Amino acid sequence: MSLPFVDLGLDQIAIAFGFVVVTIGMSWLFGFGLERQFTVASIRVFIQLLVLGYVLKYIFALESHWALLFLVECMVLLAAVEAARRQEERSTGLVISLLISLNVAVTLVLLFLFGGVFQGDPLHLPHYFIPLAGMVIGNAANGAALAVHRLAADIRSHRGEIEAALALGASPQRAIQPYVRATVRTALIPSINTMMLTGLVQIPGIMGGMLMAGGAPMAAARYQMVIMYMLPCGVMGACLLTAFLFSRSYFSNREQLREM
Amino acid sequence: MLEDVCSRRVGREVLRGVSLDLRNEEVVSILGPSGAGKSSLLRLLNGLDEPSQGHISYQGQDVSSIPIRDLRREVGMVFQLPYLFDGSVRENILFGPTIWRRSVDAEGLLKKVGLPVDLIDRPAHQLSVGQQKRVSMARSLAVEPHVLLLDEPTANLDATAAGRILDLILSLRDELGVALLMVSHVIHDTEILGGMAAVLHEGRLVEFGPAERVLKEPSSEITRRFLDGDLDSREEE
Repeated sequence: MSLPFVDLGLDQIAIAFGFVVVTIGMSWLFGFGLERQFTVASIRVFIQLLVLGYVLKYIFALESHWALLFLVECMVLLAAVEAARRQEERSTGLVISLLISLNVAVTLVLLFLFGGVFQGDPLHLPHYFIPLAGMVIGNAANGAALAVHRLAADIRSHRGEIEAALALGASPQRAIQPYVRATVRTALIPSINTMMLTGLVQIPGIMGGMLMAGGAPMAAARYQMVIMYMLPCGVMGACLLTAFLFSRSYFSNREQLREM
Repeated sequence: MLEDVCSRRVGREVLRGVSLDLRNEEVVSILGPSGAGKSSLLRLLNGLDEPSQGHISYQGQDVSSIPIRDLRREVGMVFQLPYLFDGSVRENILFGPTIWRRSVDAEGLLKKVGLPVDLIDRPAHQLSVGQQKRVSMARSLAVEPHVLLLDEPTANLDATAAGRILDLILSLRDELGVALLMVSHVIHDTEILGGMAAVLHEGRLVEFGPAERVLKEPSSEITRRFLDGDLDSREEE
């Protein structure tokens, strides 16, 4: 049985904007004070997704590896800057650490995905390549941001233990190893929780999208499995690499923990 | 050996032109009120901080030319707080030897620092403060340093526990032949330990000589005031 795909026009988007009006109305009525923020956020959703739609249409039409890579690199850059912006201590070093980690994570995951799972050239599958890259980058950036936040806090609060390890001749990496472990664990817990509950409470993103686009439920479920297996790998890789690179900025060339 | 050493921590000058010849000394106490720069001096010797000026040499070699991990292994440090790692007493003691790929008798070391062997597999954080200090000493001794820096080893201990720690330090000197450099603001510790004594005040060395002479006939007015308990303590280092 083939189910219909409902294409939406701008008039239908305008009707959907009724949800925004109702939400803003409730905020005003109950004094939540979220009217302005919600208005801005709703307008941003409209503009950002419209621009994304046009960009993807253009990139798909270009049929160029470079265009695909350029778009992915833009996504990585935006994700790294956003992840760094969420930290208390921001630095160029942090942005560079995030850029390297996200690039490595997304490259390795996509290589495995397109080389092993899809066994196809991303050029012929841009409609898979871009959304999947976006998912890996978004999740890895969230994980890395959480990792940096936790690691910075741990290094500050365990200065004594870290210096005690250094004083015994440990390398900086060995001295902060317990905190890197705790950090990666913390960053991975949301992914594991999501995996545990997937399909039980709500239909997950890509499966829902495929069903709405008229895809077969079993095919959609298989795609969702691939996504669920892929994402934690990207998150863990990005967290580990970010923690490794970022923690170097805490130590001098003579392996002394800098003052914070 | 320190030559005209200065050090800054958290934007404050904590050591100002300290020169000290510690060659051939087996036991040295660094005395002075809180904030005098005593702990900062130990941190420089273990390589946890870098001097902002001056030179430090170890066995005739400028420490900046010694690989930092080798220096830290040679010149071990026991901190004022034990800072034990998560895990058992055994894991704490074996931390250093694992890094240096050496085998060590963890039980033997535990006995050496005066703790019963049945504590070896207990979580280190469950021990009393005095026991934790002993474990931190065993942990430092496990990498077989030639010099051991002790930062206020008797701080936060009652008189009995402090006495036991001092006995232990003396036995380390006699049995293991480790040179000891102890920071303290407790004059009694230096009386027991003997050897040489240096007095620091506001980051400057004000006196250095045999401990007995420094304590009984100080040549500096500042030392005299410190011994009389007359010196204001600055903020904790």
